[in-house]
Amino acid sequence: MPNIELKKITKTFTSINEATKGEIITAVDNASLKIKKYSYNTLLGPSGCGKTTLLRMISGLENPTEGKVFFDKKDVTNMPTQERDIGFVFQNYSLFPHMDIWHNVSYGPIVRNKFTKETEKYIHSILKMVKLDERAKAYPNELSGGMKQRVAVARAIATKSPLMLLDEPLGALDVRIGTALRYDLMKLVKKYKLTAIHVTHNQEEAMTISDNIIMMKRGKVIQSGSPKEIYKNPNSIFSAYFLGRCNFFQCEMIDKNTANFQGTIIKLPKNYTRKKVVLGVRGEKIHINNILKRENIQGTIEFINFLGEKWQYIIRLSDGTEISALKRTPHKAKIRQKVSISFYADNILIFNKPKDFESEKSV
Amino acid sequence: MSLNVKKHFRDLIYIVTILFFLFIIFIPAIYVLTYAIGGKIEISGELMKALSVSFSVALIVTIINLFFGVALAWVFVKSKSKYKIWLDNLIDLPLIVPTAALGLSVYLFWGEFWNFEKGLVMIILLHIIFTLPYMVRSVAASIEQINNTYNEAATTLGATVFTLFRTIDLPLFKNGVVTGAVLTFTRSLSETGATMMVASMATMTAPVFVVNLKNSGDVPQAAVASIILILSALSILFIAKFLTRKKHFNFNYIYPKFEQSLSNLYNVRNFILTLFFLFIILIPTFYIIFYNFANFSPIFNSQILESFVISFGIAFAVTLVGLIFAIPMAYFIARSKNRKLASLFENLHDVVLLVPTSALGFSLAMFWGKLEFNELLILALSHLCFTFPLLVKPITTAISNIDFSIEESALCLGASYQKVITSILFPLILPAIVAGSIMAFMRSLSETGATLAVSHDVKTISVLIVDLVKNNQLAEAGFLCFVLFMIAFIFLIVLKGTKKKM
Repeated sequence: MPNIELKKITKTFTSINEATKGEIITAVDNASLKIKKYSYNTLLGPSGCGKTTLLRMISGLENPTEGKVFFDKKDVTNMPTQERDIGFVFQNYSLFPHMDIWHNVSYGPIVRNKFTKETEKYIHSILKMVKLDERAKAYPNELSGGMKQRVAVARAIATKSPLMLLDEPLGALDVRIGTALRYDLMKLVKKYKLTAIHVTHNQEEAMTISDNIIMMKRGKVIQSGSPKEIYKNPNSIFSAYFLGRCNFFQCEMIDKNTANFQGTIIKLPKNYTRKKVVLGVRGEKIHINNILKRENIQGTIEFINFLGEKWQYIIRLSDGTEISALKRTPHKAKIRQKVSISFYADNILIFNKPKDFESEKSV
Repeated sequence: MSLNVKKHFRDLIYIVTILFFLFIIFIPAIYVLTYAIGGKIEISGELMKALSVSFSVALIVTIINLFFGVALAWVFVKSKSKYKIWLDNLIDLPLIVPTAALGLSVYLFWGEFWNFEKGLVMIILLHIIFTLPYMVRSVAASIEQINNTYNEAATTLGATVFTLFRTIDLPLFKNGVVTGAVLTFTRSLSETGATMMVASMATMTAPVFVVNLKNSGDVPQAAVASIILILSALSILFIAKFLTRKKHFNFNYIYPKFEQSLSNLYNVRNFILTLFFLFIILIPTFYIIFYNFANFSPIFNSQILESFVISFGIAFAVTLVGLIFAIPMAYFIARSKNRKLASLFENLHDVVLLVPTSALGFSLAMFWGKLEFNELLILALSHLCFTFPLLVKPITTAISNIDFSIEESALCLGASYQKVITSILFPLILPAIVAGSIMAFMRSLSETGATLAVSHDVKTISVLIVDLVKNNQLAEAGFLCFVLFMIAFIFLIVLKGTKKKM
């Protein structure tokens, strides 16, 4: 355990919402994926994309409507949660309010009837790892959010399960603590040689901790791969936009390697055969020029945001397109100034033009 | 009006409400305790016997209810079955059907149909029926409050169904169990009219004994019996407060094989619960309707008509008067900044709610009798007394559930205090007002203990049914019960309708 494989998983619910009562909602739509041993995986996507439902189906808390779940090639689709040997960290931690920290953490080994003298030592060592050994007798309501989160992780590790499932484990914490805990989480998973599947909607979080990101949208798995792979080669407008906020230019092709963006000719890095195309350029790859050149795209600076380590320039083009350019040093241009922008052909991402561009991009 | 004047006006309403509660409800209800200061306390052998019958019935019923009530509530909340909605409707029925009708139905089913003897067993069978809903409802309510992710977390950690029930759910809904047990015990200790129908001479319960003593003029013994009943209700309240205090439960052991095997007993458990619910609760409750199909004798004489007018008149009047004071009282308990005072008044309401009604009636008769009040008026006052907490409780809960910031935002938008109450608060608590009113109305209609203890000549419809059964006019009593049953049914439907809106 565990190489995990999901084969064509679909989950549908009947809506109980007053307005849409009785309608069938597809939370996960024909999703297949493979998870490698000892890897840190994130399920990344906007809220409502089905990532939590997918995680719950891996844990057995939900049963798939169709499809199968395999742990090390063994079909576990109908296996009850108790027998799956997993650790699960809940979004709001779900620490048992009537038990102290020690008994929360030792609950897993106790109910699995695996509690021995060694387990006791093991739990002490885990509590030490998460810096809570001295608070073992405290009750959950006496702890801060960050402490509760660490107890929840310790509780999952104490089961000695090789698979750790985390449902937005850092979502309820404030940004500073959440960011610090990311690295602790990653270290723990590596130290105890676990396979982790971590659900999040935070792309920065996903990029910093993952070996492997699985992008989801509207119940479907869009793309998976290492953060670098996905950032460099997004396979869709959605991937490019959700992971790293890409800028898009909707163009028409002139011949097989040149496109026209509102009169500006753009050379493409490779041949493309359709009539219409969407070009993507990352913000840090966009150059701003104070000198207005006719052969370049022109626009007006709308906002200049100082983000600490970099500057963000929001430029509005004449057709209304919004471009965000990121600079490590401040540029001379001022607000409401007309500028021209440019980028290298190597930095262009090429996408098919979808029927509805905005909905394709939208989260 | 300036803000200051408005605040004084609000304080004035509070003061009037509190005075009303203290001098009309609370002090008269426990006035009999003053008898202990001056009078001689002597407990006769007969009283001892009645008390022992009462306490053993209450104890056995509570134990049976603990077992079946908790199991039913758990299955009920966790079940995803489509039949759940039926169970949901049926389970409240004994709460609202007048106990006199229930008593006759149970007597006819066990006594006439199965030829059981009147006595202890039949009293227990009757008491289980009208107390079970209290247990199921209070346990179910606290199970529903438990965040489902605790269960999910325990499941992912490896707990089987029964282990999960014992280590996670039970500690967390313990307070609901205690509340259910307290209500079961005190309601069983208090019930009078229906118990008269199924008790033999040897198994007279304490409240029945109080009524008999009062009617035969043995005031000292009746007072002593009332004092003991009131004090036992109070001590149960204290025990309950003590039991609900413990919040922490750490588990170091499980019994893997045993708990695993219990977890696998799904089908057996469901079978036993179905049998219990069907044969102990449902069929005996509804038997009166079948009986009426066989022996239908619609009668309406002047005495019956008079009883109906008195019963409905009193029920209507006490609900209305009660409401006038219950709403400010509930607001005071839910919103007062002086939390200690508020919780004191909440506890005082619990005392009135738990005092056995025959003792309460006797106490009221002593208190108001001194002022030589009219019998009908004393009767109405006694009904006001035991229905008032039924009104205050749900309204208090409803107000507490409304986030105070809603009221504050209305004030910030420029609404006057009056406007906030009429346009924000009132619409939000209306379902609770309706629910409380129906409970109070039906309780007044069905109550027998206090009614018998207070009045000689004035007969409410429930008392009339008890009399008819005593005189063996079963067909006539059956018809009246049938009428009450139908009224209860209509109210139940209204109650469900308002619950949905909540």
